[in-house]
Amino acid sequence: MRLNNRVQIKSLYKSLALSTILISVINIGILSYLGSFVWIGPRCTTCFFHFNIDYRLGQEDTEDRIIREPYFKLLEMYEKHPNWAFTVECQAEMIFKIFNNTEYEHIKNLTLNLINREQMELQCALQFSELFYAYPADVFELNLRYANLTLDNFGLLDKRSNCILFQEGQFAYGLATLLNSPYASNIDTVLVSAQQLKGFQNPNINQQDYPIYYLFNPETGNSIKVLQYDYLPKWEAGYFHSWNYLYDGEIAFEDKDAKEEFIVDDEKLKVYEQELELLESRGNLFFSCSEWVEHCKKVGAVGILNYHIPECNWANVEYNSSYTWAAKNSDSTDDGEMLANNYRCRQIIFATKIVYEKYKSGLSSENRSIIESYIIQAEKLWLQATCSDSTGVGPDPIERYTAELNVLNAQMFCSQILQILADRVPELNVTQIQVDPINRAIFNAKSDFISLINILDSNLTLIDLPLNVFLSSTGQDRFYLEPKIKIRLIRYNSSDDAMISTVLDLYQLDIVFPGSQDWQNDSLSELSIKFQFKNKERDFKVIRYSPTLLENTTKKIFRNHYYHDPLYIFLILSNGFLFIPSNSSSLFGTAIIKNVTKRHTSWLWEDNFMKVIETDGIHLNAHHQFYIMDNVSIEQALRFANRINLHPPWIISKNVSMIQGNEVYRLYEQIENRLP
Amino acid sequence: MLIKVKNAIITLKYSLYLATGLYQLTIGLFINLLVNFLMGVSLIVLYPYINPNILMIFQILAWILIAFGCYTLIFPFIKDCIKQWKYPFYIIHLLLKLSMGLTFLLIPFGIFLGISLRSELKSSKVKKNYETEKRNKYACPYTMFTLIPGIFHILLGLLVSSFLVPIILEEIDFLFPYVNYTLINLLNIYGLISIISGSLLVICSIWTNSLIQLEKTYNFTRFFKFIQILIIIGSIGLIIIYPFGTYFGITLLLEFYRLKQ
Repeated sequence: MRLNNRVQIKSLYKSLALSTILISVINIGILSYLGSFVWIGPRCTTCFFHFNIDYRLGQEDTEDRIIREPYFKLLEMYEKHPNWAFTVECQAEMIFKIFNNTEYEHIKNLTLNLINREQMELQCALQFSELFYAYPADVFELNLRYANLTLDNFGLLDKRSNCILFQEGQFAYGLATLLNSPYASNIDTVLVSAQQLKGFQNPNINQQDYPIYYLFNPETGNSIKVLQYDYLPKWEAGYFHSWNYLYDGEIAFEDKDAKEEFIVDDEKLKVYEQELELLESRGNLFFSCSEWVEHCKKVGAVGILNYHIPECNWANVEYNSSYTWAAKNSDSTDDGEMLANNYRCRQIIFATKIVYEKYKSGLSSENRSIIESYIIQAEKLWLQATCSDSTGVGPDPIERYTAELNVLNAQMFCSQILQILADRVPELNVTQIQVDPINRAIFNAKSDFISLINILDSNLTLIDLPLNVFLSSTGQDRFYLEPKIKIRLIRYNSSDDAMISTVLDLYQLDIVFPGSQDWQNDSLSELSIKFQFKNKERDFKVIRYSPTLLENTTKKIFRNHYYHDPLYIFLILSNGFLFIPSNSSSLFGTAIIKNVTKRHTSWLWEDNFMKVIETDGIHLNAHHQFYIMDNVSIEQALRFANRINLHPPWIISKNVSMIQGNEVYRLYEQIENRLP
Repeated sequence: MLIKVKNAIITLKYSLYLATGLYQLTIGLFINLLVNFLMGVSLIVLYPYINPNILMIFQILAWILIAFGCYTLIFPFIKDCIKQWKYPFYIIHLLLKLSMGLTFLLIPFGIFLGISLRSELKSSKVKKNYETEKRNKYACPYTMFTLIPGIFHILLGLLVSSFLVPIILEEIDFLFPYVNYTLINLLNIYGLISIISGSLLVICSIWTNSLIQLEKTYNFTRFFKFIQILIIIGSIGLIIIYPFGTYFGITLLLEFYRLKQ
């Protein structure tokens, strides 16, 4: 028995030893293969910091703290290590604040010093961190132009990087065209997260992974490069490459115990320095974004992006494309209303500029200069309101209020411009004028005001529509949940557009969901408007839409080219245009056009339905307006969509309260808990 | 020298040295790889939990393990040369024995699971090779050895299926596409196999003696067959779950077929 046990124990040990040898040999093989990339190969790091002084939109002390604390201290740390190349991305307004304020003289000098010795790379494309995918190309272009002016003013234009990461990692297919605008000067590369690239990749196609891709816009013949960034290091372009700190620079070294936000924890910053020192001691090279791009190009690590990525943000699954910024409300904002209010401000400013352009020759240089400064102030206020912080990830009430106020102030500047003009041009001295941006026509008599549509029948019901429309809302009190619905058969005034020669009859659907009328009351939690075909053979698997920044073109996209879960695709539709072809190759079909100046929200796109939803509280009354056309050509539908949303006739006035779109401020004032 | 190596592989004592050395080397290399990989990640987001100092400590640990591993590997061959040092040799030998013991503690549970299953099979095989009385005594020492891994695997399976999967699922928005539904399904299968294998082990460990007694009294050959099938299922599960346990799984299956023949 004892002998038996001894034999068994010996056998047990032998088993252990043999298995351990086997395991170890297998593991050493695997580890040697993986380790060869890390141990033997050269390694490099791209250090990147994204700064946003509008992190708390409307709080000037926060802006100041961001500049004095994380921005300045980070630069001070890098100054001690000349070999550590790094990239800072910020809005041009931050550069303006630093360079235009004598209190920041030392910060300005440090910035210049680091830029001039080519250690710090400055990424800066827009004056304000606009949620650009929600608005048409002209807004983006204006923003680019202001940034150009700012950088040029401080001698930084030719020193800015050719790469750019947009606020909240925004990406739009149309960037390939817009970044070829003269206002974008040298910018030719957009940073996109690995999650965006992989999340929207056709799951049935295995595309090779590259650090850089070329993105083409065949619609315009333009292209840009897309630079992939990832949170995990990987072997690419001949290096074991990592991105070091890709997040918000403001909170990188934040002292969580400090009484105020954005105060730097010096110990944390020291640890970061140690981290980079450790890398340096291992022979790690430090690249700026553009240096990394150059290297990748040199070694040919460049592919072609052969699939379509709809407008989205970084962490595209977590934020569901544009859902977080244009459908997910919170107790301080209604995204759809915020975006629509900004959109309306665009029409007001553009209309005012048309009037000024027409009559400026008759003005004194002094008045012209006043008006032009008003225009600049109005545009800057409005562009700041369009920044992504006023909706999106948990905006504070102050951010919503600032955006509201900025738009109101922009309107006031417009009314003052019209007052100056009215004082000198008698024909403008009327209560209201209407401006038609397409023909640049100005009407000063109400009887001459044009209407794009004529009502044919206003006694229709939902059943009369060519599509099934399902409405739903959830909340604590059912009494308030009943939406008001109005359906009309209308005729588009075809004389308005020579290209639309045929009579265009369509349906206008107005739905108003009552809001809680209190910013802190989310009891009316959700609404949805779902469109589905009556004919069960038709669906939304193939649709056409206008990619943001390319509002005059359309792109066919296929729902089965994307994951369904966990990726939910929300389309923002900057010109409200949605077209469902009769069959995948047809140029005729059904169009649903959303009036984005009423309520500008994203669409959830699924195989069998398209749905407008708003979640997390409805506060103001939610007025959604749609135009539905059946058996219409894609060109007619697109022209109509652009007419309604991009170039609608707009009423402006020297009295701010008479400006079209200003009436919402009476509603804003009535809502509870308006002020932060 | 070649003869010595050959001897080292086939001799139990030398096998243990070789195994320990290689295993320490593996762990050392793994930690080293991990540290080098983490250096590229933005560690500051993990502050204060992971910082350069902690990385350096792990780096030193990795180098110690690698050094020890190498030394243990070559120890049987240089033993005679350094034996004359007496006192230092005594300390080195002690350290090696200690590290060997610690190393075997680090070996994944899968190996023990494999051994346990193997022993279970042996306990059924015994019927043909030993007398029933001896068989009982043979099976008894392995009961705890089987029961503990069995419980461990049930807990592991529950942990994976009930905690890990829901947590990952919650974070899939952030981790996608690295973490996707395919991975979650695989983890669920892993958890399920672990639970099934664990349950089989627990059943085997508790019932082995009873089964043997039952078979002795009533000649329940079918029960024994059933247990053998359970063991095979368990071993296949083991192969799927633990690549490390593959060796044992295969050995187990081979032994089963030998038994049949």
